[in-house]
Amino acid sequence: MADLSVRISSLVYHYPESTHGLEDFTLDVPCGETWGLIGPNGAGKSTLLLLLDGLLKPMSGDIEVFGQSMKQNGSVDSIRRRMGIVFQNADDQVFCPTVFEDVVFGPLNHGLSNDEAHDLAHEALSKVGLDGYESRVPQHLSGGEKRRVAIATVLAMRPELILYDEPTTGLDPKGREELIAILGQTDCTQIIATHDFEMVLKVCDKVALLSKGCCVKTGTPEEILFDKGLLDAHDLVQPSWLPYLKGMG
Amino acid sequence: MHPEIDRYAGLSSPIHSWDCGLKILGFSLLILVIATIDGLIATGIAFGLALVFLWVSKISVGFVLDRLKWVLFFLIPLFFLLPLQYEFGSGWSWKSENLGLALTITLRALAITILIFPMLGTAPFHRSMKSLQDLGIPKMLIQTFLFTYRYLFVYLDQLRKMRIAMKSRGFQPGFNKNSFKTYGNMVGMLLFTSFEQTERILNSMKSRGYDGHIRILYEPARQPLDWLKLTVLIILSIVLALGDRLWLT
Repeated sequence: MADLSVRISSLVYHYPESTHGLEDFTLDVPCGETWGLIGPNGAGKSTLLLLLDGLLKPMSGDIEVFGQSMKQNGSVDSIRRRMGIVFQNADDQVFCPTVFEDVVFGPLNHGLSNDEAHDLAHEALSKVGLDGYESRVPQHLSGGEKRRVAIATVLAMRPELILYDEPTTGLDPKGREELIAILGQTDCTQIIATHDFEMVLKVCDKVALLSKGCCVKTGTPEEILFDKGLLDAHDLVQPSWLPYLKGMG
Repeated sequence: MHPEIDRYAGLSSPIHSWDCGLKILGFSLLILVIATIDGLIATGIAFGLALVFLWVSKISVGFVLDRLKWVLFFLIPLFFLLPLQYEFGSGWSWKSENLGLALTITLRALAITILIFPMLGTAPFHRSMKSLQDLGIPKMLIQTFLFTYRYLFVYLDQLRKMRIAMKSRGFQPGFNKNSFKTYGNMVGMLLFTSFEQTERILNSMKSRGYDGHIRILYEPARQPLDWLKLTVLIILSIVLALGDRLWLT
């Protein structure tokens, strides 16, 4: 199954003293595709991303990333070298004194030399349009800029798989458009947990609808998002502009 | 405003340009010597030396004074209370020989506190920690310093937000049961929310390969001048220690 980035089989995870989690969750994500994870709050989207990054341990089931099972000893570290996660709140992700030091943090921790890390950081900042921001203090940046720094911190690790947890939350329209453009240009496998249906339509190749910890349906963005009955049945609201979009073809 | 100790790390001075590890080593030795001297004259010289180093470092005196107020909060009562002595029959009396002791303790504490600024305030904090790591200080201790420093800001941010939320709902602080109860709730919630955020920050660091070892784009390149500066500080420390024991008592 070399053409699969992620294979999730019968995954179960429960938070202590909570009804939220994942229940017998199964999903295959082929290499190079961008997948959107949609679902109401508490459906398990963020939990799934944390499990994929090895930050939570499943109670049962398995996750294979690029053919390597996360159950194998030491596999999490080697898998993490091939993937990155952009957290929902950029303030949790940018913690170094300057933008540049934050962006080189990942490459240096993954054992690259100072010169390599330096080059990758510049390349990543350039990709997200933040050339010249190297010595800026992350805490003093706008929400959109911080989010782009957070993405640069991940891009600098040259990941083959990127996980995004609600990347457009809290961004102004301009920042959101810039972010969508960045996601559209990224050529690796991407999994995006989001409530932003417009972004899903613009960026994603496939969508998985999550509800109560299960994967209810997968399909193209149009198949899932234009199905008002399906969305209603799982506590999602179809945006009023979506049917018009369908009418326009 | 955050209480960053390294706010003036970007300045240019002979202390800023000094290799971080040797600088910490030199100042630690001087601080250790000052902590052991007893004589008032030697302590006065140590206080003068601390002021000279502060002046050379170009760190704002106002910034240092603002931080010293917490030390003075404890020292000023001590300074006035130590010379006072209670004797049965005659009551309270002023012992002028204790005034010398009070002055010695005050000057010694101020000298040591002031020297912290040229030692740790003339380089980015994480670089100082990296230098400590290179000097062989246990990793666990450095992580504790690093996270305490990082999370202090997280706590302060949370506190600021909570105070705004309380004010916006008409909270008037006072010396009454209601205020104490509100403060108790605030501290409880502060610990809870900050703990969650620190977890998220740690997750973000782990996802980028953090394994407890600090890796930054800083390679110490020690020049002869760095060693010369260390030699000067060692000589000063020896002269101060010997002077206190042999000539200045």
